[in-house]
Amino acid sequence: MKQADQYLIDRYIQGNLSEEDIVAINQLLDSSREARDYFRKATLLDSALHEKASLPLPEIASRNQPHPLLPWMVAAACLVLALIAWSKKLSHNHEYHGQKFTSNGHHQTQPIAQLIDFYKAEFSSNHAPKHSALDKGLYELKSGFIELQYKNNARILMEGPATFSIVDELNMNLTQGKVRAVIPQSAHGFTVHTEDADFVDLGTEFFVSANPVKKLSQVDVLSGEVNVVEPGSQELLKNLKYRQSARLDSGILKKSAFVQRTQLPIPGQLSTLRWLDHARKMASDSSLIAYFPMLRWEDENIDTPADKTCMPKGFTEKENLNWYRLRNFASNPRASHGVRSIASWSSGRWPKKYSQDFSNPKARIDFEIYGSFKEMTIAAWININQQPNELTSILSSDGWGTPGQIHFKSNRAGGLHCSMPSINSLPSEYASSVTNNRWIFVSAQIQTTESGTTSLCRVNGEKTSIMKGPITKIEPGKVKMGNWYDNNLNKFERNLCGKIDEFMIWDRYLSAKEIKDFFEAGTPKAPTFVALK
Amino acid sequence: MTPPPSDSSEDFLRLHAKHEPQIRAFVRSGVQNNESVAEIMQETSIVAWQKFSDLQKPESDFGKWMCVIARYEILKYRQTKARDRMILDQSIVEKITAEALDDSNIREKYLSTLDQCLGKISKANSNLLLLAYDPSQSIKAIAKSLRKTPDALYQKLRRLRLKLTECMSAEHSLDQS
Repeated sequence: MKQADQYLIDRYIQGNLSEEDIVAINQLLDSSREARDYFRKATLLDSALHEKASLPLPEIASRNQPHPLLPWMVAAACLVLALIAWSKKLSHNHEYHGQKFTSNGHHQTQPIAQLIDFYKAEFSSNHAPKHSALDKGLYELKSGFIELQYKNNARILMEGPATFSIVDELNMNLTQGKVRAVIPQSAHGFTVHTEDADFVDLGTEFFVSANPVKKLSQVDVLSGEVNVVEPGSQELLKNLKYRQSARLDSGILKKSAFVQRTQLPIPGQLSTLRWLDHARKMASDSSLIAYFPMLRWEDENIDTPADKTCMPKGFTEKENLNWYRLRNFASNPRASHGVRSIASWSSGRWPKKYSQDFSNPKARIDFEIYGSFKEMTIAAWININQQPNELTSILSSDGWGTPGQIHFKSNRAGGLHCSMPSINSLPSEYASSVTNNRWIFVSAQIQTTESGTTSLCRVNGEKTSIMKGPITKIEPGKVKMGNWYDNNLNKFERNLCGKIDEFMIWDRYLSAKEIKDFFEAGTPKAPTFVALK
Repeated sequence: MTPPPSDSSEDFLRLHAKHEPQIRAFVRSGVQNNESVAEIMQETSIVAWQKFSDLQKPESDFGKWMCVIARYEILKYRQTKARDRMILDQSIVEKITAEALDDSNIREKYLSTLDQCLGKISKANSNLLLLAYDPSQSIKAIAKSLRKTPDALYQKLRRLRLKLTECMSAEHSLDQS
């Protein structure tokens, strides 16, 4: 029998029929024997419950003369107990009175959950975690985002304002706020309790929001399955599967269209948000003449065809439908936008951070650096998979031989050099070197003084090599990121078999501390998932 | 038509007490609320008491016999309330009560599983269900005490009733098997 028909009969029992319902129930009962059988069962139960509710509780009545309101008192007592249990669940353990939220510090015993990342997170002073360890208790996230990792490796992403309490390894209460729960095998059964329903994981990733003002709770299943369960009774209200949603409006379970909740970050993505702030600040530096942060927004058509307005001089006649613009985000640019050819979008240092992949031998990004400079610093986050070529180009002027050109490149031995035609001498080498298959921060600082021109290369802020030569103006001209074109052989050489995630050029010689700071700000530390033992 | 002799009165009261729940349930299937059930039950009991001496096999036929009387009283009640809005058409009620006449034994066994099934839901929920059926309580007041809206409480009650119906059907089939 259809559930809608059962609901219709139930509304008759409750005396809640509309005019349309009256027509419908008559048609239903007239035409369906099954409906009439269900109808008789429903009225039979209704009658029995009505009769039972009119009687005093038998076990008490047999012993004493019952108070006329005794059944109500007993029932009310149970309800009161249930309410107390719920309120206790919400305010479980108020021993935490953190004053100021910090990410440092440690916990003597293993906590139920660890705060592994946060972004602009601010807790209320009375309900903040003491350090990065979260035990049983009530917490109030006033604003921002946090990422928790439970002992059982469940990952919880939360957006403030949110009020929540940690009950134990498998249970958290969400009074208000938004939560993304990513639950591994080791934490099956993890439950987010809201006032209207409990959302029980059956091996999945799901999104829950609770809004006590609007009396709304929402669940969206992003993968796997979730049971929506009546609080207290544990009665199953609904089983939701992949890309199914449910909404509880004033406690009433309603159907809801699935919505991809992209506004709530995924595990590791808080690092991307934090980096974006850093990138915005960096772009406003007037000495930054070229900045390719490799940004790609979900709702942006990033692949704008490269046209005359954005291409470097000399490229207009070679206009190609397969060339796309890569925007130079520097606020005071002295370089063109990039023209992306063959290089493709790929994953970056953190979730939802992107990069350009130069593994194809012809992959490159062309742009032009205008004018001449006395000082220059070039830096990039790179991840080299392998080095099939003798040399791997990070940034190279087209051709070779014109004074002022630069070739910033690495070799198979782990060396990192920034050569110019005039300073192509044997470099002084230091201990640090380029390593494959990990994100590293490479930089080249070039400076022209009265005593000559030097180029100093660093890996992760540590010196790698230094080269010296006669006084030379720095005039890179037309350049390729991730490749080099050999004019003599008429072929591409030295493509970077790997990815570049962020690329910057300043018109000054950065200090060692500045470079170290940029390395620290961009280091992909937080997203590394380390299972707690 | 005369009332039954005194020794038969005892039999009548005994059989009436035994069959009353299932007869009440039968009446409920023919009227739209429990207030009407009380009124029809009263008329049905009076008529049955007056006609009890005519019943040949009271031990085996009492339940079904009472339901026949009750069916007549339901239809009569509807005529007296002709000015009131009746939700179900007369023909539907006739059909439902006719089919229900054959159910008297099943109804009795089915009802006997109620306590068992109430025991299978939580104490808080069974108390809530009975509280909602208490004539001295209003749904609005109960909902307020639970910090729920009346609609939310109605939905919860509907779910609990559905659960009980499923449980009672299952228990009853087990008995039959």
